[in-house]
Amino acid sequence: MITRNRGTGGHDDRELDALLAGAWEDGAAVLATVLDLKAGRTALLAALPKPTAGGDRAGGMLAEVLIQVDAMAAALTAHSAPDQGPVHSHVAVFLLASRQFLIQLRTGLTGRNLSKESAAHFLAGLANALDEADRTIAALPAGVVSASELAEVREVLTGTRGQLPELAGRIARPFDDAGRVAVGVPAPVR
Amino acid sequence: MAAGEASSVSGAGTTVAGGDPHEIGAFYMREMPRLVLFVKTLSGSLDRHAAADVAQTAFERALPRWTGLSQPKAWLYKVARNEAIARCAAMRREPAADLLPERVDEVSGALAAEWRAEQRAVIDLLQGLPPKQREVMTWTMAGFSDAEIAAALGLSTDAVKQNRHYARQKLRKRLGPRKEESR
Repeated sequence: MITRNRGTGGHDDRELDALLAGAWEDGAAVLATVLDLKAGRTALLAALPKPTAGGDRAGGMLAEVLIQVDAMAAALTAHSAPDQGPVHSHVAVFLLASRQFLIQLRTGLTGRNLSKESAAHFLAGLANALDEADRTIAALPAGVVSASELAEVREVLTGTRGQLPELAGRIARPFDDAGRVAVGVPAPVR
Repeated sequence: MAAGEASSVSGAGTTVAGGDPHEIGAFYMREMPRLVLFVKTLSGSLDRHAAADVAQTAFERALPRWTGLSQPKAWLYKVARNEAIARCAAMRREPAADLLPERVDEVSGALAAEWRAEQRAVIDLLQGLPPKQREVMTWTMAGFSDAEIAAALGLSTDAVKQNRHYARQKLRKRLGPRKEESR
């Protein structure tokens, strides 16, 4: 994190990091004196669930998958509106399709009725839709669209694609642990 | 399984034994002020009461599944971030007449009194960054790695680095003259 990059204002990264870390720790220390932490801790621990064999771990695994799916879907949604520029217009249909596959995954996971085949189908569909979006922007004539908009869309595609292996691994775990259908994964507690 | 062995989970340098009330309590005491600061810095518009409520809600949601979380701290912060965004959106949707009267924000007062001016300026400037840069810097200050930030925000690690680079440029530029003036 620390480099010797020096800005026009006179701070380099080392000084800036020290300043930021100091401000952060001081802020947290001040908050610790103002917040009623003991009362908060008591309220939290009063709600501590009794341990169950394996159930908590499965629920946590599902929660992590859903958080990741939600974050990916949110990123795609933010860039799916075609009125954000010509590049967005060209790829909106593929981003919406990608998002749809994520939503189908989510629905199957929370409903505990996602088969291994369906999970693979949705993940493949998601990857294909991202590929199509990639091919579409690669085919756009040079100089017609703004470089910054192009970079923004590429960033979303790259970010989403980069998360696919981790997502696929997380989704595969319940199948590996509990058989072909994710019936053993409890629904999340809201 | 040995005590604290496979049930111990870590995230951003913090290790918590899964399900142990003492460990969770200690984690809460250590992390809660930082989580409130994180929510406050990230949202800008939430006061101390709302930021603390968001942080407590995140802890309450994490608790039932604590032993199953491989990265509890990252999960906790992601839940807090999503909750803060939802509350800010809800605040924007509320008609002005329905907004609660402005409350005395004890934390802002305490921070103003106890923070050194330069450090307070750092947080103010952080809150003035463009949203994505502010998010990346806030997650960085909360101790998360580039990979963890990328996963939480749905970005590539390159995008995380790029946003932090631009954020630092802005902060350096704005902090430099202030520091000179304060001498």
